[in-house]
Amino acid sequence: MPFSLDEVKDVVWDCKNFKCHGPDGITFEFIKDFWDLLKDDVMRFLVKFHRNGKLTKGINNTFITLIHKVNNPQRLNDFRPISLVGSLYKILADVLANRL
Amino acid sequence: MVIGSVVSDTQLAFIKDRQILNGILAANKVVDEAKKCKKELILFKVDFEKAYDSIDWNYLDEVMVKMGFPTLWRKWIKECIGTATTSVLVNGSLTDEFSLGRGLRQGDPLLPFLFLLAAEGFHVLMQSLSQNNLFTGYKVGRNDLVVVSHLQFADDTLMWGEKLWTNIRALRVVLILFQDLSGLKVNFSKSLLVGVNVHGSWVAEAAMVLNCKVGYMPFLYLGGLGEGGREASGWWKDISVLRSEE
Repeated sequence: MPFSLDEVKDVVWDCKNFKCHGPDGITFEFIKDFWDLLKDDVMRFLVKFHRNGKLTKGINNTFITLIHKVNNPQRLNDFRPISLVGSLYKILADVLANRL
Repeated sequence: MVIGSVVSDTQLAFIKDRQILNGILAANKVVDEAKKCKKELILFKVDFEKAYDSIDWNYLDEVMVKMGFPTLWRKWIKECIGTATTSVLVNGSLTDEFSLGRGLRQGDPLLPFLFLLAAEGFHVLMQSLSQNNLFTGYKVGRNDLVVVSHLQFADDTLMWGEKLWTNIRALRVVLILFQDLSGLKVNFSKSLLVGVNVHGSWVAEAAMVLNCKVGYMPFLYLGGLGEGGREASGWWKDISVLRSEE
């Protein structure tokens, strides 16, 4: 079954606006605000992935950064690494995760 | 949602309508029951080393084949985790991009589900061990109707069994086997072996064989979730201490 516009829109609206953005630097507030302009492109990307199962280079790039596990981190052990994913990949992965 | 139908009910994490409290309650109940009925019980709390970061991708794909995921799905998932490149943010500036060879990224929305698929392999192993009488689970109740052998909350795994040397050996074998299959390495030195109504010297000896620590009641299960942002809900820690009835 191809990805539907409603399915994708739900995913986008479920994402928090100001969550730390990944390599593409696009926040979800931006995507929501300009949804009418962006939706065709987003859908084109998803449909293409649905068809050939390939991701363009760079889409799946992430940043690794440290976040602290406790309130007043003192040592390296008090941190753990997380990956910041780009918004397009996040949309795709969320859509897939919703179907899982 | 298919995840609920392919993942067994000993796994309590990330699935709709399954709750962490159920795991804590179940663990408590079993211990209580053993105390009341004066039955011997051993518990083993498994600590996986960097669980999410060490999953083998081929293993994950193999699990998906066995679960009957269609080729298209597997191709998508393979693409999503296999093409990942990353760079490290150091004081706001980036290092060169590099690609990953294993593991799932914390932050990837697919991680919880894919991890459950991987953890399901452990359930299958335990199940076949029990069925072939290589591992004797703990029998709850007088009629021995319910046999419990393990409980999972994502990578937090608890194993129950009768006090038998074969169990200790089976336990070690199954964990090492799982490590070779999936890449998930067990940190024996951080794992706990706890005995209920079992003599301390027996537990100590078994712990030495397993190369793990001896735990005492009450100990913390699923308390690791108290870290990070969820710190605020402090009631957690109180509840998740497996209490001894004294």
